[in-house]
Amino acid sequence: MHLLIQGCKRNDRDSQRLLYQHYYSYALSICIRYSRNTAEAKEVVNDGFMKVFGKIDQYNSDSSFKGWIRKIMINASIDQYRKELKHQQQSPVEFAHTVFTQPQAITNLSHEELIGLVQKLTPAYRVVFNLYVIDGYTHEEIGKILGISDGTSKSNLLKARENLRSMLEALNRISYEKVN
Amino acid sequence: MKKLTDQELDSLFKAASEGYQPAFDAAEWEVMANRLAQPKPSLWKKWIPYALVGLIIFSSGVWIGTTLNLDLVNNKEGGSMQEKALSLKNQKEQPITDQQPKGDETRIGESKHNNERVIGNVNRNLTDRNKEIANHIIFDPEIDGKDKNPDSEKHILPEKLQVDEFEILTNESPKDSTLHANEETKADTTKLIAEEQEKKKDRRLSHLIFIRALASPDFSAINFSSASSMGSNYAFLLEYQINSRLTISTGAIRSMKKYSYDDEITYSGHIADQLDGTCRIIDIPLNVYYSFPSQSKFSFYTGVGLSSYIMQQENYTYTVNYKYSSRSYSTQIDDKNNEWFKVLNLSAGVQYQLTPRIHLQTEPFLKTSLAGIGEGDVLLNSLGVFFGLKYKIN
Repeated sequence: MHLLIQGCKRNDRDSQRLLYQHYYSYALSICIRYSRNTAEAKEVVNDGFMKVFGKIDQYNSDSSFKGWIRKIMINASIDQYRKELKHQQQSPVEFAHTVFTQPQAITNLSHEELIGLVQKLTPAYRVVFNLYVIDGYTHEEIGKILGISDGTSKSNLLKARENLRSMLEALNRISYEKVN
Repeated sequence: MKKLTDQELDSLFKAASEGYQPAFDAAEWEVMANRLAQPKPSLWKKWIPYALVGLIIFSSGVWIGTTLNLDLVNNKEGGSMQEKALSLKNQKEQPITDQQPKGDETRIGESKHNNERVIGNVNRNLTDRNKEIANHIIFDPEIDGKDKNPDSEKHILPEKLQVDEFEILTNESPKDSTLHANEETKADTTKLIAEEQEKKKDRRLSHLIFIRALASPDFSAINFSSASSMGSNYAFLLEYQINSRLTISTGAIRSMKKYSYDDEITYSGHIADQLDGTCRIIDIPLNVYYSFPSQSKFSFYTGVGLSSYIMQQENYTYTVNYKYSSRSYSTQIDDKNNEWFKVLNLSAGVQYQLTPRIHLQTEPFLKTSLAGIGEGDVLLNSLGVFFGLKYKIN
């Protein structure tokens, strides 16, 4: 890995390719949670890797490279969230109308399907849920990052959880109806 | 169905996140490789149209200048030495135009008793005229542009012509007198030439002062992010020539800098998602310029120095994005921040000598902050191209 990083610092394309291949899956698993869909997540991953290659000189070898990449991917996702906020129509999504095409029990839901539920949250709920629950940020930190108050962050988390529960219940209900 | 607790719900999604392993998509590397191969977006792209306009203006100026200058040289100076010789020959054939009235010469020719007095007068005239000849011979348009008065050429007489005049007037021991006059004249001329050359050398080497009036578009940005809109610079500078290659320059540049930063930025303790700034600044540069040797009227130079910013007015609008909306805050700060020697100036330019005193200049520059600037303490960088004139005042 050290050699790969050194190669990337020299802008060696082969080193960049190998590093990209090595961390692509990990990076996508982070960005996909913050994005609306896989296509958007792939764009964010590439934005993140552009920052990785551009700022690799700033990487401190004492710290974990994987952790450094994780931080960059989260920041890239938050940048995307901000862009999304500027361009989106400001209408909250009604989860009651969410349609699930594959009825299953919660225990049988794949990781991909669960991530799909997170993607269905509104951007504001999704970003707070990801930052707090998955990535371990505090409400204070989230407030600073997103420019919102701690209270708003807590409120968004509460609503995100409620929406996810609703989606899971709806999923189970459909599954139950199908079985019977 | 039993309702999941917060902890159970979080654990479910955390496990999903950790367990999710999307496959590598080789096509994405192709996209990435293309992005890596592209040059980084820079301010220079936005410069191209302005640089082209500037180049056209500069080229037009050079073309007009060349045309005018050729006319001036032909009309006033005779241009080459051959033209000078031709001019002198013409003068020889024409009646002498001097301060001394023509009638005096006729009278002298008629009255030989007054010869000695007249010889004295003529000798004095010769000395004066020879000074003028010396001036003419060593005339340097760069040094003596002010002497390019058409009237001054009326006084220029060839040495031989004056000696002939002397012979006509005396009519006594013509050989001795002529030789004596020739020796004196040559000695005077040589001495004067040497003196003038010495003066010319001194003046050429140092103590020349120039004034420069320049204007430029200004593209400012924080941390070299892309510039959003164009500002302006109007400069009035004084330049002092230390020696034939080095000059120092200072003065004032009235600058309007406009910039926008479309990313998270900490500004006065707040975290904003976007910052738009418009600042009116008096820029006081202190630069050293090095001129590269040149045999033509074009010459190249490069400069380095430091600038101080007197922040006359700072207008900032910073935007914070909220859940479903964004909010903008504006602030104006007047005459608060003075930033002494915090900006590094780098520039390189080309100049064209339009007349002995006037140069056309074009000078691309980069100003980069060495420390935080203004109320926002931002690392502000500016690019531009100065276009203007340099005028020699001594």
